[in-house]
Amino acid sequence: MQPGEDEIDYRETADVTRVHGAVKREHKEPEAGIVPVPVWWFAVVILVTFGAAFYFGQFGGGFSGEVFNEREGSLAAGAKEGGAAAGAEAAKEQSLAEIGKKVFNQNCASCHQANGLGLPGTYPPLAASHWVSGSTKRLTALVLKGMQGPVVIEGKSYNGAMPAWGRDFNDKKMAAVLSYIRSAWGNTAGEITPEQVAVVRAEFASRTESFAPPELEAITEDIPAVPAP
Amino acid sequence: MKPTPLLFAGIFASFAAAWLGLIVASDTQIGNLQPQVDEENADVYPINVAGLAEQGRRVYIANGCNYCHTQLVREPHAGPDIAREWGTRRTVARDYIYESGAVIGFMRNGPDLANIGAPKAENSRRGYVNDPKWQYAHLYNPRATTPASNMPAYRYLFEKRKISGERSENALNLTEADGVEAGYEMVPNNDAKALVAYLLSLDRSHPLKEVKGAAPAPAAAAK
Amino acid sequence: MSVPSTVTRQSSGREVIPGELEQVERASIDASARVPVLTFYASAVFWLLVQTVLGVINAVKVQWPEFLDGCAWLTFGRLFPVQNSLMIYGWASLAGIGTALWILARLCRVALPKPAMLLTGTMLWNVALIAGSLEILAGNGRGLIYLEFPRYVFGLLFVAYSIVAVWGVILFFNRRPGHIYISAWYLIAALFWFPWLVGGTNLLLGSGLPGAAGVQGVMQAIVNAWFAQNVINLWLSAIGLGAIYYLVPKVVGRPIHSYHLASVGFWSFAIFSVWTGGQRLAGGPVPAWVITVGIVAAILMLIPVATVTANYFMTMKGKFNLVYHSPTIRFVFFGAVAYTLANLVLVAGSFRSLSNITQYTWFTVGSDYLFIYGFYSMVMFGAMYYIIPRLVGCEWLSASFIKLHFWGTAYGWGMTIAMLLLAGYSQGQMLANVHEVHATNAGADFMLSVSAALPFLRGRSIAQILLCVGQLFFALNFLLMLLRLGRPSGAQPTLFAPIHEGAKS
Repeated sequence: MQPGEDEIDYRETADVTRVHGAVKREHKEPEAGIVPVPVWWFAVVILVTFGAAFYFGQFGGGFSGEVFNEREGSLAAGAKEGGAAAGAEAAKEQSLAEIGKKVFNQNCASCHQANGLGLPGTYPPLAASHWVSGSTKRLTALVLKGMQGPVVIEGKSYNGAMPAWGRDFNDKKMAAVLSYIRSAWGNTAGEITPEQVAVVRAEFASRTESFAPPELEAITEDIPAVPAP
Repeated sequence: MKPTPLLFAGIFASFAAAWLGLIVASDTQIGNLQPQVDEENADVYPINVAGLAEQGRRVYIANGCNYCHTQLVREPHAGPDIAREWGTRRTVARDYIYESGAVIGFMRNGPDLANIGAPKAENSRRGYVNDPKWQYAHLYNPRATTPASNMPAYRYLFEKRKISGERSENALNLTEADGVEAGYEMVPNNDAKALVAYLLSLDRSHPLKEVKGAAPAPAAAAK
Repeated sequence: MSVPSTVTRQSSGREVIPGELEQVERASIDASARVPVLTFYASAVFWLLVQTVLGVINAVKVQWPEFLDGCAWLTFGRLFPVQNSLMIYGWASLAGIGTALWILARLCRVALPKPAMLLTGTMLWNVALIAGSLEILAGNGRGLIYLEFPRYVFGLLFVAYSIVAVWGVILFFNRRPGHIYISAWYLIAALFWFPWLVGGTNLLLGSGLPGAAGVQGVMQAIVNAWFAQNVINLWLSAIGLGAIYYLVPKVVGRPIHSYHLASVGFWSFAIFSVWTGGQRLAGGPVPAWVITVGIVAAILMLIPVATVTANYFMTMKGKFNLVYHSPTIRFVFFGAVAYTLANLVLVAGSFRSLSNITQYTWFTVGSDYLFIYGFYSMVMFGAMYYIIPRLVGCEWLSASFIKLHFWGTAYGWGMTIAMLLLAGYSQGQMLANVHEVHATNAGADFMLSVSAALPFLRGRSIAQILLCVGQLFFALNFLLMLLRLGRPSGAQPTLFAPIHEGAKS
């Protein structure tokens, strides 16, 4: 291709006055006309803004981080109330032993082991132990207040400290874990209700130190049945 | 006012406003959610998956599963997700505090997987089965378990090897016609095992306080 | 940095007339922009071809899963994100940067200083794209839409982009005194928003996996949705609108209709578009207000869209025959119409009554493609048809090639988008109802949604092949231009049909 009259080959010459056709025929750089914003534009803005505001009012969820359903007109406060009720309802469906299993696995299994057999010589077993399946009052008192001192359990001697769980577990949680260990791993002893735990808790309310094993061995009676409120 | 500073100020302000009002605001609201702890019932949800399932999430994302599968359940009025047994309640932000945002997904070319690991009811209309063997068979050849499925086959997540001693537990039921000679077996590799472990860990049926008006738990729904 | 002194050196000894000086200035700007802009364009066209071929493969894979099956590198879940990322960062961003730099140089009336240095940016950008694509194929993608590349790749892109941005800033601050034309507003805004958008989201997201210094799960999804909509709005749309504002008056040869409309259009665009994105999570595990704000912003976007559209059409008024003659105007006109349409589809699809059906289906993909392909890419083609002859010094060789490119692209993308929207809608229709017939047949009910979308997805595969053909003609025409095998420059550009009175391209 031969460079024509109106062309320039930029590689070969610095003479840019002979600009090529595209630049030559080009219109000047664009400008904007001074036409005012038309009336219809304001109409569009008002219409769209109203529509948008209405939509936000309908489905805005009150800017709450807890409202996920856009049809919930209520704000976070109402949401929390309803939520707690639903949670409580769900809680009722679980039996004491089911709850107790979780409590046990989270708090007790590290020593007594998930299979309830303990570690020989260090942590006593809970399966097939008369301490667990025997007197309900003794068991409850033990777990509430703890126990310290040498003790012989199912023919093996231990000398450790069982911590007091009374402050960590409320009556329901305590009843749950006790009921669980009394019914798991082949144990067949009966349930302990939260109301029964409350009775024992009240009886030893003023006690601050752990029990010594002989004190507990002296307790042989069960907690009397307490009617549910 | 000179036009240039005004231009820059405007460009900056418009962006900053949305950044603060949308991203920072929502992050302060739902960016630091904690698991729901129910002291009463000694219940913690959600639980951070670890180990194999955690690896499986990487496999899930690496292979782009999230481009065709969502992991979200909508309100009943927004779609029949619950009627399809993709979940027992809608999902909310707290369900994902230990998840990658990617798994929420973009398209439903395949069924939702938010609850693929949840136990399923009798006579379920769910198209997938909460069982590793089914999952392996489906990954290897989706059309063997779901005719007309348009899911890609993930044969590269499996390896053929000689049977030494007993057949492995996870070996696929394939014959010579499928290219697996006698004396050989097709077994899932580590990625496939991780992926299935992840999938079967997906269960977002646990009740959450912020979800209202839904069936509280599968146990309750069954009664 | 202004017109080099060589300009005033008169080789022929002729006297310089004022109009001619302006032409000389333009020619020297074009000469300075030639190497960097053509490199950006060449890279863009290369990645356009790659992602178009990937588009065909992915389209076929969706309706025929056995196609190229069973290999990790070729699985749909990896090829689709590669296609997405190359569409945004390969084709669209590179074409946009080239166009933006050239228009800015023209509007600021400043030649690009040290143009060869810009090549470092182009090269680094391309390296990042290759690395990112390979990482996704190797299974290291993040799975976040349009943010699939691993974080370090975005680091590379960010560095490469900074080089481009430095030149943008140099141009702007050395501009000749005078009014700043509306295109420059959009381009400067885009150049400013893009790094903040990409940098900010990547800082928030970490590697996308839990525990890797990113925000919590659902926040990642929100950030991702916001990013995806705004890489389209703040980056691509801003460049696209800026380019239309430049090209339409330039080709038509009259000023843009109204400065005031342009001004309110720009500011409403800047204010509202940043808030869109939440609607992409409709029904998802996101606080209701986040979604609603996204929908409301999409509704409010109708204000800038109506404004901009009115301004273009008033400028074109009485000159619509140029759509028939000028390749630039035909592509740009297609893009401008698609922009309006895309926003209408976005608004319609955002309303919860429709999004309950269309959300989480192919509809979203179709809606994105309407912006990225239907609007933005068509405008970029228009800009390339206008700019490239000025850079290489000859005219497009073949009007038939341009015609084939236009129709291949218009039908290819038009049909792809229409088919995706329809596929999404019919898929969503089936998903929106549980059909009692299938009560006992596990999964069969869901399969109805798969088969409902199938005919449209088949149609889309055909459209993608058509598109491929169109792009091949474009690439060929472009290659001929690079080799300077075009027609010699003259009084008329390469037109579809000759124009008899004043209008020029």
